[in-house]
This record gives sequence, structure tokens and C-alpha cells, in this order.
Amino acid sequence: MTFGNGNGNGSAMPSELERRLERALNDVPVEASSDAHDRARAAALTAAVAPAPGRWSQWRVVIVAAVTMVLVTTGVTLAASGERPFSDTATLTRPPQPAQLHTGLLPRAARAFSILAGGRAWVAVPHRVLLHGAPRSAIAVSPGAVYLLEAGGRRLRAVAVDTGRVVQTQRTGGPVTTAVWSPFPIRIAYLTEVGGHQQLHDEWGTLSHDYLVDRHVAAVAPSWRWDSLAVAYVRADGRVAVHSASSGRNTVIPPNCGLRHPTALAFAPTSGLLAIADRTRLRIVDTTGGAPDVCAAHSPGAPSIAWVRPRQLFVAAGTTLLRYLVLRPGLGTDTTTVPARITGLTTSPDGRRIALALTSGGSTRVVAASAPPFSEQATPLHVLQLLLPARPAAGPVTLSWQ
Amino acid sequence: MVEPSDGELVGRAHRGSRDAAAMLFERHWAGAWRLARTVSGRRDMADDIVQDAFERAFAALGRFDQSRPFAPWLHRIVINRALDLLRSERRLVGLDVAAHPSSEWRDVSADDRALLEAVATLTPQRRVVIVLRYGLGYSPAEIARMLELPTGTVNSRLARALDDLRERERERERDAERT
Repeated sequence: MTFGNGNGNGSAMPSELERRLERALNDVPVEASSDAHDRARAAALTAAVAPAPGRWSQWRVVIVAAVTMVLVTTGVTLAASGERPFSDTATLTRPPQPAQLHTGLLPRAARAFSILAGGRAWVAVPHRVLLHGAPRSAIAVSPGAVYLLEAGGRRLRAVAVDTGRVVQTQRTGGPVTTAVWSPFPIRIAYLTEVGGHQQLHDEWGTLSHDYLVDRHVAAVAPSWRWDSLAVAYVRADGRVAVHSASSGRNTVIPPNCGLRHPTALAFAPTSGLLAIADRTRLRIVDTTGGAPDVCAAHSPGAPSIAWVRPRQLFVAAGTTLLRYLVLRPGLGTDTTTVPARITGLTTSPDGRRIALALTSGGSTRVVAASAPPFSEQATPLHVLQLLLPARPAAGPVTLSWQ
Repeated sequence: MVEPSDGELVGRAHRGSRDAAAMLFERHWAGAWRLARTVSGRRDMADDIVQDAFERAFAALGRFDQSRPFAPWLHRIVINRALDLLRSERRLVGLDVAAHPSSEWRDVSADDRALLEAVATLTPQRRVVIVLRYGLGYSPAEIARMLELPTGTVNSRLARALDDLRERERERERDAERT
């Protein structure tokens, strides 16, 4: 070691200390979590082969203020032109037409993207728009974008994305309000309205072996655990429960953190961490590991939750996008404010980009943006693409990105 | 067979070679993880820091000067990500968090653990130079270039960090004598 210690105390300690530092720091064991290497490798290789946003379309990457002006102008122009707000020309009763391109609906490098807003559905895959403003009560694209699940009336049907062929149809006990594929596309959870109550069902991905999980649940989209063996949902009494698809047992999670009537929940991508939110509070529960709950407040409003990393998630509510980092112990957070109410949120599979539904003045638009970096400094939202121009819809928007 | 240099791998990866990118990743992942772990002081945070750093580095391969070494460039990104996350702790919500990162060192001797825990209590700026100097073997001049600091500042931080560590050692010895 050639570096000399500058304190001049004449002690032999520094060289001994330096030798020990070298040994200790060089022997630090790599104790990464089991999937950290593979996850980082996949993300790095994707980043290496994908064109960087700056090279790809620098002209589109603008700060939120400028984009807002553009979007507002777009909305005003559409309204003034009297364009029909919806088009039902593309349906899945016949194969989709490859020539009908609406590239704006599909984020860059996405395998599929879907929007459900105000009872209308938009679904796009590369080179095809499967649904464009078609009336549907629920839609869900399977992982890998192999099948599109769509609901209308008392009918649920699975459609092959590549051919548009209806491969399976199911009659349900009532209108289907929400459908969710498990991460391994072997199961489906769906909510249906029967006798004024929402019911939760769990069935195979073939639309068979339908199992009634709970007769009285809240109208909140359930969330599958990463291993597809359990699904979390909100009961009608506001309590959160986890249904085991293998044992059939429902386990109620004891209340905590002062949450009342949760309106959003989402499992983390690779663990049993479950984020639950009501209109003002967030709770993160370790449903499998038993770690202490993490409680936090978020901006008032109907929340949307999207995990971007095993321990990082966004919660959007009101005009605020809060990013949380789950630490042990504690929770780090930063905030991005947008000039419209966020009514829908999802994330790209690699967690690098997000899509937001922004609502103001009774109209909603959907944009793709880069996920803001976790930083102490206020970071503007970089909007990359306008996915859906302003449409007259004011309620919650369901977004899905494959 | 001669292993390709980092510069060659960067060039091939930038031209679209997935194999080259994978080789570059495997060559540097463990070192980057150790750096993230020791700078952040958090095992669970290191996974995310390294993933973020590799994503940023690999997305920017086109801007990398292939005549320069790859590792210092990557390590600087790792350090910046780690410091960003540590700064974010000032705005913690929810549970209380300890003033210094928890160590949770496993599979290390008691003596090394005490030293690593002492390193974890240094300020982030001092911790960074200690890890770069003694963990990765960079010279003060190299650290200065990497962090865009005067070499004198790096030497000063190293000296103060070593002073801090010696003081921790003395405290530990006094505690041991009492017990």
C-alpha cells in the first residue's frame, strides 16, 4: 500500500488498518438475493440491444410542462374537429386486419398494450390493433400476449391474439367486471356481479374448472402472487384476503395501518410482498415472510399501484406519483407531480417505463413515460409517447403492458 | 484463447452482440455488487443499485469512449446510484430508520465484520473513497478522476476516513476491555 496516512501520528496502525481494509473489502461475500443476478442480467441485455431513448426519439422526450401543452392542444383539436370519440370497427369476431395500424397505441418494444376506460377497450400488439374503442366490460391480455380475454354481458371468451380466433367461450353468472391472468398463464381470477354483489372466481386458463372463491367481495381488481399459486382480493367488508389456488383456503390478513376499504392492491413481482392502498394510506404486508408491515400515507385520491422492482413501487393518486423503496426497515420515497389527475397506472415488464391515464375536464388521455429515477431531486416526468388522445372518460382506467 | 478486452466487448455489444453484452455483464457483476453493497451498507439495496447501474451503463454503451477502461465508468455509475438512494433516506416515511445503514454482514470473520461495520458508519463520501481505494485498488489519482474531485480532496477524505476508523477501533477496544 503506497498511500500515506496524513495524520502524522507516527503510529504503525494505519498500514495495519489498510491491510485489514483491503482483506475485508476484497472478501465481501456476494449475498445478492437469489434472482438478483438473473434479473439484472436480463435488464442489462435488454438495455444493451434496445436503442436508447435519447438516440431513438429525442424530439419526443420533453418535460411535462411542454407535453401538457401539446396534449391539451391535441384534445382541444379533436374536440373541435367533431371526430367520433369511439370506433368499433375492429372486433375479434374475425381475424384482425394487419394493414390497420395504429402504432400510437403500442408503446415502443411492447408485446401488447391494453386500455379499458369508460366501458371501452383498446388492445394493440405489434403491427395490429385488436380492439379500438370496442365496448367491453373487462379485458386481459395473457402473459406473453398469446390470448386476449374479453368480457361482454354474461360471456367471457378467450381469443388467440395471432389469428383472432375465439378459442374458448364461457357463460358466467353475471356481468364480468374484472379479469386477471396469473403471471404463469394457467389461471384466471375474475369478478362478476350477481344479485347486486361482486363474486370472485378462480378458474383454469382454459376457462374451465371454475371455482367460486368468495360470494361477497369489493369491486377491486384482485392480484396474483408471482408464483401463480395465490390471489389477493378485497372482501366486501373491506378486509384483504389471500386465496390459495392449491388448497382452496382463504386467509384473511388482519387489518393494520389504519386502512379502511382498500381500493387497490398488488403483489410484488418476485415475493409475497403485497401493497394495499385506500384513498389516503398505503400498507405493505409480507404475506409469506412475516416481516413487519410498512405503513405510509399517500396523496388523497383513488390509488393505482404498480411495482417496478422487487422492492420498488409507484402509487398514483390525485395528481401525484409517489415512488416507494421498501427498505429494511423503513420506506424511502420520492414524488413526481403531474398536471392532471392520474386515473390509471401500469409499468412495462422491465420496470423502466410507465403508462399513465391522465384525466382532466372529463376527458382522459394515456401516455407512456420513462420511470422517474429514484432521486432526491425533483425529477420531471419524461413523456415518451401519446398512446391514446383525449377521450371523454372520467372514471378509473385499467392499463396493461406486456 | 485470448479473452476479449472490455473495450472489444463494449464495441461488439454496442453493435448488437448479445453474447458480448452477456460476457461483459458476467465479468463485472460481482464486483459491482460488492461495491454497491459496501457503499450503500445495505444488502437488499445493492440488488437494485446494480441492476439500475447496468441498465444505465448498457443503454449508454454508444456514448462510452472505448479507449478508456470500462470498470471505472461502471463503478462511477454504481456509486452515483448508491448515493442517490442514500440521499433519498433523508425523506423516509413510515418506520424510523437507523442513522447509519445496517450492516447484516454474513459469512465474514468477527474481526472483518467489526471493520466493515465501522466502514458502514462513515459518511457516504468517506465510505466511497475507502471502498474504491482498498476494495477496488484504485489510486487516489484514479479516484479523483472518477469522482471529478481534486486529488488533494481524495487524499484528505481518505485520511479522515482512516482517522474515523481508527477511532472506532479504539472505542471497540475500550468496550471490549470493560466487558
